[in-house]
Amino acid sequence: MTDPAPPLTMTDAAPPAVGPLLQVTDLCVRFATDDGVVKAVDGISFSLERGRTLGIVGESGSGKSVTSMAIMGLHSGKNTAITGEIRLDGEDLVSASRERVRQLRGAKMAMIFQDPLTSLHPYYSVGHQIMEAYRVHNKVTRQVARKRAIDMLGRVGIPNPAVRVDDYPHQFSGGMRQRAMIAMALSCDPGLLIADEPTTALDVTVQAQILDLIVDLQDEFGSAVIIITHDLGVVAEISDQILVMYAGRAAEEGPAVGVFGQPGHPYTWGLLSSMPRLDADRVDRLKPIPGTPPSLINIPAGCPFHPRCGYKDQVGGDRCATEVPLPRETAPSHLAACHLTRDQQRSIWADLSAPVPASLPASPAGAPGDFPDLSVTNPAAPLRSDDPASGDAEAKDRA
Amino acid sequence: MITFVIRRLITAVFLLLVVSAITFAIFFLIPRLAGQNAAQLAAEYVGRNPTPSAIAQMVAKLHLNDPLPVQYWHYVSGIVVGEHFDSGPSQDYCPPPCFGYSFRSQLAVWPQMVTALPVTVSLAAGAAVLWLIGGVAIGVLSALRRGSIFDRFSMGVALAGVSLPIFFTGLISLELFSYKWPLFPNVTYVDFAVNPLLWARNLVLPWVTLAFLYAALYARLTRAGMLETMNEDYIRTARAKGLRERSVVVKHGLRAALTPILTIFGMDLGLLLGGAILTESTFSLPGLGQFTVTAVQNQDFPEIMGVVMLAAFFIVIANMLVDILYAAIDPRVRIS
Repeated sequence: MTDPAPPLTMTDAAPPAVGPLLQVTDLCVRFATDDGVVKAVDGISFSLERGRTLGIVGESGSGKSVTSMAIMGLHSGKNTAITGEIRLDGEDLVSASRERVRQLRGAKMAMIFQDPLTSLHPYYSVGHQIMEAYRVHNKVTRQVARKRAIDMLGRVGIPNPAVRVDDYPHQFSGGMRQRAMIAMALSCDPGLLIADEPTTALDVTVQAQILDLIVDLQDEFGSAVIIITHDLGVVAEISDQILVMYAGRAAEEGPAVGVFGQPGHPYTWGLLSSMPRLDADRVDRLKPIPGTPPSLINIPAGCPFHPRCGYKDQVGGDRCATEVPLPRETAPSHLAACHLTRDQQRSIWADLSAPVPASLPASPAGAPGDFPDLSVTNPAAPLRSDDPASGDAEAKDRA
Repeated sequence: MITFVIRRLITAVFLLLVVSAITFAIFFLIPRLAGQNAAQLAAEYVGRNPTPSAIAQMVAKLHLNDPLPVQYWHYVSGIVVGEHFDSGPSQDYCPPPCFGYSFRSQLAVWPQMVTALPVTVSLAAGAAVLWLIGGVAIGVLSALRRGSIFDRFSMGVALAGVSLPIFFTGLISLELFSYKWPLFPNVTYVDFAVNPLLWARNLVLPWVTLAFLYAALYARLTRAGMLETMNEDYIRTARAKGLRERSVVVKHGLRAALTPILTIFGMDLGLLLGGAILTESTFSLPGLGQFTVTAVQNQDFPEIMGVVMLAAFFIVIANMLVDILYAAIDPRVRIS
């Protein structure tokens, strides 16, 4: 388990004359801790063109945020080892000096965060914080910066921006704070915008507005966007490409249509099955993925997902536990790192995505407070750990 | 903002009234409850060989036969508008703020305190500047280099500084720097107006001794505060904007970490202005602290009451200033 998975590439097509805006190759991020080395990101590769949107999906601890922080150069030096390449406009950020990365931060790449209240400084007015971001990278007077801040606040849909510019974050609502964060991030017109769970802390009604805003501004500014989330609805809505991460590696990647329409990795199936479906009967339970994400200090040998995978019996021999699955095409430019054959993947997904018969009896297994037992509720439930009893016990222990 | 200040001022006056009522009760109500009558009380105030006429005169002078609320009224109104004392043959006018006369020296209390005050202010203000700058700087550096040799060393020294009492560090510094190597010989208070250079030179040892104790405390507080704020989300935002690390630390980190320190600073400074008893005693500085010690030793009640009121005044004012400053620093505190 010491050698990282071989790099995945998003497209096999010949590179365009002008390279992609962002090219990440075999990125590894490791943290030295008292308990051992945490392999938070283990050989991730992807590329992103201007004006396109990449959605990175995965559970907590799958390495999505660590990846984005690595791109931004926000990991603090001492206990972090970053290898691989991150090329922004052709310039490698991994080998660049900290000062150079700082200059690029905010100017050519910007980031918005999950919780807009704690992400804004409570002691400074919203306008001050936007002006600050603008003036680090632009030698302008306060008046010019202030005009820019008001202009940006107007563009992200803050009503009466000339007045609200002097408000403090606590005087803004949650949605307005996130709008202000977006205004701050876009104030220097960066080519790359990373949105790390931008809607998680917001009301459902506001979530849609913020996503619309990101899409609109992306069209207006022509930026590339990376959107990181565990909410599949969010990425499905706005992404062109999807990268599904598990235990710091790419489980599946490809065009959004492909990943959602014809997913090839059991983990992606699990993610999709754990979403509510409108065509399913109400008594039907959601199907969570059994077990918990692995420790990133001791990543399971072979396929990191195999202890939680319900399909490893269908792979011959012990390959899932011994052999790291290489990413293989399940469709053109759509890769999945799984030992199942393409035909197996297709037929299993066809079963899974078939409309659920509406007349299943209510399950007796789900007494309130019980941990939902997937294997009983729906006879067709595909995902089960090899030993459901032990899997449940483990999950309970950690709960 | 103005209503906020006015409200705080009213609270401050009320607080001082409460303090005066309690001190007054300690000296005039509790002895009565313990069974002393006016003459016995007055006898303690007269001197070693009380004659009945002197006692009667003292009872009349202090209005000891009046009901307690009236006596209290005399006391408070004396502080505010001054008081006329009828001491038999002559009328004494004690101008405001009148805290009465010392029983031992017969001198008015207020002018004595006014003489002692510059000493204490010089000591406290100088030390405050030293410990605030030193403590905060060391705390910030320790937090930024957490776990480094600098961090461990300075926190070790800080622990020593918090633990060692002033009369120990003060005597050591006197022994070393005043007697063994006479860098600062003859530590006595020289008024600033008389000789500023000598004023400063003679105060260096007291300043450093006093500041050492507080700087140690402040370094630990600052370090803890910085460690907390530097992990806040808004610090990550500041870095994501591409701010220079210095701005991130000072403008975003320290600014937030400093708020609780400011609160404690206000209280510490207010407390010290009421008399840095240990430091003044160690270095024989004739400030309010010395004044207090002498007053207590002599059981000189008017002096004790006076110095208690003055100390309470400083603490209340310092707290009020901190509250107002807090509102200026943290917009969330402002009442709109």
